[in-house]
Amino acid sequence: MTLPAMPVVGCALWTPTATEPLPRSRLIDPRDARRVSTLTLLLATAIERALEGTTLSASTVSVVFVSTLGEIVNTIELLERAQRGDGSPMRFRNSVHNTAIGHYGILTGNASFATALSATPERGLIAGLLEGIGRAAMHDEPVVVVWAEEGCPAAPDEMRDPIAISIALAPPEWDRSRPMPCLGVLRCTRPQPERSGEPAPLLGPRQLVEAMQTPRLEKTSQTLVSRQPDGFCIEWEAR
Amino acid sequence: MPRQSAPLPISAYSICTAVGTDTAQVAAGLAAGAQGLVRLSDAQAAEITTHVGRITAPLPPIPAPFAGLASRQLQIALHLVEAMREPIERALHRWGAHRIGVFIGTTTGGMDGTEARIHPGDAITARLASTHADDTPWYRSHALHVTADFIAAISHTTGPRYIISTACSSSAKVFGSARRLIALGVIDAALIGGVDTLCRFTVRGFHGLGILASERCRPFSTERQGINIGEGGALLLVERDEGSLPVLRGRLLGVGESCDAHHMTHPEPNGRGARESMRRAILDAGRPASDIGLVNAHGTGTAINDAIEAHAIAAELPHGPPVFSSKASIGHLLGASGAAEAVLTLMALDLGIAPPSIGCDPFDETLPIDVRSVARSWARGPNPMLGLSNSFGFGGHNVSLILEAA
Repeated sequence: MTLPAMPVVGCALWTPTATEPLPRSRLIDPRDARRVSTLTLLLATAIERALEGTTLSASTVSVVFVSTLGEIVNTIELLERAQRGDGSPMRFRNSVHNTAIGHYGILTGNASFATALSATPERGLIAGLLEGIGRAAMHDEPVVVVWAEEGCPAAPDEMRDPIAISIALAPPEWDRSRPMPCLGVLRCTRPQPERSGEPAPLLGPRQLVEAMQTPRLEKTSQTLVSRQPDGFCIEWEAR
Repeated sequence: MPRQSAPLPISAYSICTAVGTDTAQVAAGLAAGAQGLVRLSDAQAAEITTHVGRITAPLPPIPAPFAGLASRQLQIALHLVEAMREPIERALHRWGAHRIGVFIGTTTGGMDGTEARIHPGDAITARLASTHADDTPWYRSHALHVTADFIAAISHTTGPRYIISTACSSSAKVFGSARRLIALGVIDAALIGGVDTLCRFTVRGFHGLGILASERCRPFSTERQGINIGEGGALLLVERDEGSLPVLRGRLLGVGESCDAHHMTHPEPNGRGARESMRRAILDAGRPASDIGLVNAHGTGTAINDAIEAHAIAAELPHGPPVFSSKASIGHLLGASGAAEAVLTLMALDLGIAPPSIGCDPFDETLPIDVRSVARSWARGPNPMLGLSNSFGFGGHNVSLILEAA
């Protein structure tokens, strides 16, 4: 099985820094930014940065959002409040797993396809890409796959910091009148291809996007093969 | 233009709701207009007056290897898988474990298990951060994806697996995911469905939003006051290649998905998203709208949602097929409602009836749709009747399915 090879036209990685401890996106008005969850800001930031330099529009691109724990900060806050006999309708409606894509659609006017997935941290990347490539291939439409976690205060250290990555896919058949730079081509295959020597590395979303962002050293194409759970494999061919 | 997909055969299904925990009980309850809603009785939510659709039959215990993940959510999931052991075994033999995916819709996942770990007065973050007696961290049983991973493990499938969580359209969306991945050759079959459990988190949340009905909910009635929450789920086995299947329970013909981009909890007032999802499903099915003979409405029982949906149905299906809502029987199963109501739609098509919408009398005559509180049967024509099932979720994420009985 090999899903259709999918051109990647943009990608981004966001992690907190001293100068940007929280994500900031021009797609969301600062007045609205105060009302939405961290996960919504992460999603918007990741989409905005993946689309920079492309002809894709943040208000029409389809979105596949993946998160293991979703709106976990709001959820824990609601559980805390329940202990005090206190509720918050706004926090409740913002606790659903699709809060980020819902608010993103509302605030950017994006009424295109959007979905929200949950998978283990190991399976999140392949789940998002299967859903994203499936949608892009069957509907001939560009899709941004975003994997984001807002950080969970009641989880181990490695799960406490927010992170977001994004990969913008544009099928080859999509709107040839608007050409744009292509970073490379993604392929999802199963089973993993036979290799001699060491097995392919098992890469997570962050490592894959960092590889995509690494400038190509030679003019020839470079291929990275990444093992994934359940026998899947991701091949990244830089252009 | 989206690529046209072939009809997707449905070879088996199971369902578990407040009116029954097997297909025979639920089908009989659907036809008879069984009432599964009871008054909420919860000492820790005593301030809330409402009715809920609670499963009262015993559910199977979680097997020892998964004890650390135990929750009522997984008990319902286990019950649904156990009811389909034989067709799952056949699919495993036919396709191989790695060629079967698992795509499940839920909204709260293992929340009931998380709530069971919390005691009144606990500091939540500290309580959750401390591991359980068996060393399973809380977030492993709490995370939504656990339900899909558990179903994959107990069904012995090893294909791709994930949760879709778009609120009340979650387990309708999974039909689209499975259909795309089967059409592209990633998998040959999939277990798709939804599970959600009654938990204080959602009861309190909807109470806070002011949309819980204190009495039994009454979709499409002039006296409708709001929703009742239910628990349960449904699981369906979809497979490519209808010709090789020993049993066929129905077909998925069309999937339409849309996004309101309007408000987190209120539908777009003109029903734009609802109409768009129905229109796309009909287009995807490749059949005229006039072939739709039955509509399972999302029909939650809130004043605004029912009105907007009714006008959207009338606009897209001007021939006026019978419409029903099951939510006064089983409650709103939230993330599980899409799959459960798809099964109810298949059952109704198979029985040749438009099920009763109990509680709809006195019917709101301002709504331009045909809803009755009694079951109606129709004369079978030369072609199988098509059913349309709507699921609309928070965030404005809408899905419509077109189904055909075998």
